[in-house]
Amino acid sequence: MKSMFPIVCMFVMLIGCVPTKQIEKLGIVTSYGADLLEDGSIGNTLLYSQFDPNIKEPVQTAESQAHSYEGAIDAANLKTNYKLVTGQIRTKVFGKELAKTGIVRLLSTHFRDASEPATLYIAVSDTTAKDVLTSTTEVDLSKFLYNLIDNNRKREILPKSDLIDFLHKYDDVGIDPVQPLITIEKKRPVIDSIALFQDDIYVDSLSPEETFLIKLTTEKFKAGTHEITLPKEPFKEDIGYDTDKSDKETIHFVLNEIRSKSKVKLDDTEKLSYTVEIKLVSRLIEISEPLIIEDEKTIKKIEKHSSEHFTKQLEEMMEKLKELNVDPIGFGKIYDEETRNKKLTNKEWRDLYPTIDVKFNVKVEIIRHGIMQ
Amino acid sequence: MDKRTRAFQNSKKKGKLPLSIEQLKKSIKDQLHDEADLIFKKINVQNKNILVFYISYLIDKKRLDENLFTPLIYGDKDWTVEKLLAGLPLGESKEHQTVEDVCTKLISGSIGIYIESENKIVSYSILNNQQRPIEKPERESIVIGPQAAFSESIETNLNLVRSSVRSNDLVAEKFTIGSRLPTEVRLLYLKSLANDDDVQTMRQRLTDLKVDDIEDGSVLAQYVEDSSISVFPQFYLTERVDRFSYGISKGKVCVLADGSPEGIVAPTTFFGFFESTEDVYFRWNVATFFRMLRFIAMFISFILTPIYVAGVTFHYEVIPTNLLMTLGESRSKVPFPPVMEVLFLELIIELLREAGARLPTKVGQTIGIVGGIVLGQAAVEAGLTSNVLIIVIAMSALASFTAPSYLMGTAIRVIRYPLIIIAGLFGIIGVTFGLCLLIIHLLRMTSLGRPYFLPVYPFVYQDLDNALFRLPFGVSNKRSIAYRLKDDTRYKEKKSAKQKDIDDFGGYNEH
Repeated sequence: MKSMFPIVCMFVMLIGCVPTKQIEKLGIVTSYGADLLEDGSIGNTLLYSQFDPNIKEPVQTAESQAHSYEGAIDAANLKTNYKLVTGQIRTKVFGKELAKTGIVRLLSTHFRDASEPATLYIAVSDTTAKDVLTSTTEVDLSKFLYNLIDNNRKREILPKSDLIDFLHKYDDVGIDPVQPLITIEKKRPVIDSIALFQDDIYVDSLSPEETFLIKLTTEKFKAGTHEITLPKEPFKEDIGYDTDKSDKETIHFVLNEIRSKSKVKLDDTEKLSYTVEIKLVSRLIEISEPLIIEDEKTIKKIEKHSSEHFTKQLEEMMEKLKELNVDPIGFGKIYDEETRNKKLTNKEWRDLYPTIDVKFNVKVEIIRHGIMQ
Repeated sequence: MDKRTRAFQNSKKKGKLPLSIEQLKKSIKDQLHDEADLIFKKINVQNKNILVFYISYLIDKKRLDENLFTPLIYGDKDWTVEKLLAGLPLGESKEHQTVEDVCTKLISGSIGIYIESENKIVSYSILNNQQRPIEKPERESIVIGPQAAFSESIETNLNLVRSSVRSNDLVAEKFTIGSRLPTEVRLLYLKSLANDDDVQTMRQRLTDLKVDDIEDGSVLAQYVEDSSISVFPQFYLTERVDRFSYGISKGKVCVLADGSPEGIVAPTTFFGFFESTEDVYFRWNVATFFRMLRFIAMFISFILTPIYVAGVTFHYEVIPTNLLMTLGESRSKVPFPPVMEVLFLELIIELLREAGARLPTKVGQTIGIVGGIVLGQAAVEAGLTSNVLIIVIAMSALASFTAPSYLMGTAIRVIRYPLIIIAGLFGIIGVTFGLCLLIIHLLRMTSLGRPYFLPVYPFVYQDLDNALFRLPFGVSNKRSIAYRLKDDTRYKEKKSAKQKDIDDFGGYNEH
């Protein structure tokens, strides 16, 4: 019993020391948007949920002006009767202008404070973050934005783009992050393309077509879907009776259940020549023309042409990336791994990157093309 | 020894035989404090005065007339003590040297016979035992399997146990406990199986127990268990005959007390309290599922409400966003902090349970169901509690009733309260701290000197089967290894592995 006394004492003393956060007294911030203002400070837009039985709309908006993220929350707190907390934040949107000046300074709390969530998505707005976060009041925008990114990532349309991934690629030398770029279409935010970052500075954007190529080289597909467009010429003899009489130049194929593997090899550390081996196994599920597939030959033809198509696209994209001096595929990281004895610096790589030579080697394999009678 | 006890013992020493009939009468009357129904019948056979005495409501009168008076009077013998012992068609006889001795027999349903000027009294037990018939178990009901429950009579109970454990290996040692109101207690075990240390420990504890009175088997269990501070029961108390004899057949040490429908099974592990004999009657895979379900239920029962309190008071971050909205909306109408809200609703549930248990069955049922629904609904509408909490509380209350042992169920319900309060004060850190204390407590506990948390701590791989889950009988052919029984193999694995086919018996394929 004597030994229990100090423990009991300690408990009694500690009662009330832990600050309570009863959920009904909180304004739970679920989305945060930041824009660069004319005077150089940051204009903030917050979406938060509060639980007042008398207010019908669960999501409220607050705006504030500050120089930091935490400061923004404090400034916004003066405008609401709830205690604003950021532990449930799910999406952070940055205006294009702000993104051009770098965004990592507004993300540092997430790796400093344990109570800040680390599982959130980062997006760049095509216009301003405020436009995105105030675009509609019909839906819960926080949930909408989060699910917009989450579902597309799960469907293997977007590459990995959460906070952890962003910070990881930002910190590593020789690889740059990509994040979704959001525009507004019919008063709803939509993902238009992906934003390319040089470190944490927004540079340019890539189309969904190019996004697929980025994902193809950097990640593994497990069950992706993709539409490819090939010239009609080589398939002319295989096309059966066509009800559509209009003259078209192209033929479209849809591949699904794509499984892919990619391997980037540094062939020569001096000349900086790389080979990217991509193997793509998939099922052909849709063709825009009544193509008759009777033997292996037709399939082989499709495989050959789509491989060439991908290679060409990849080469074009590579040129663009080199021009922008952005390395989302991470060639620099591989260079750094190969040349272990000297540490690669960011500046060195920015100088070297435009001089690299990349050879793409794409192999498409169609293993099924459906049951057709 | 104080004065009163000494005086009591002195008075017992009076009444040395032989005595005259009148002296004996007086002496017995004194001893039994002039019991109104004490009957003395004096008969004279061949010039010998014989005194038959008994307490009329304790004995079977039919047997008295047929088996005692008839041969005694019409036998017309020259009766002596030896002839009395041998020549009467009654079984249980005893000779006594003193009046006190015979009086203790009288109050337990014997008749005394004294032949004048002999120095011994003969007694025969013809107890007319008033007892209720063997009924179905009420506290531990199961669906399949034997449906017999113990009654208050130790003779009936022993009868039931003996008839389900038919082995001359079964030892039933007799103890008499209680200095003022002695009660018969039996220690049952299988001689060739039970660990001698366990038997000796229990024997020692029963022998050393010096109390005036044991009210019930459950009281006896409290007297002899390892730790009386703990809220957790350490011996399994059962009213089921099959559960009791299952314990015996597994080499455990079992105790029955007279006047109690509860049998004690020892040693028992923590996990043993979640084991029902039904698990053995079910198929192994189904039984495993239900056993797991009970463990999960137990965990839910004491962790769910504290987690609710901690989450809603301190850790909004960990609640999934969608759930947070629902929780927040239902919480926003409640004027109390979460911990008060939970305690309030838990109190209602406990009141309902207690009221339901005390009231007559028919009224009790109405209280239970109607009270639960109506009160819960009313509390939500009055804005006293949130509707999510109703579900949480209902779930944890339901879960606590799944424990096959009623004592364990109540223990779990009780430990919930400190956890709720600690969760309200310190959040999830408090809950973790409380759980740690709880686990430390459980790990340190023993049951009859054996670790309480077997086979998880100390970890005994072979015993996991039957303690945490069940395996098919072909594989599970061992008894508990940790208990160090005299024989830990139930049957040979190989023999049970192959089932005989019809071809093995018939001669169809002979040619």
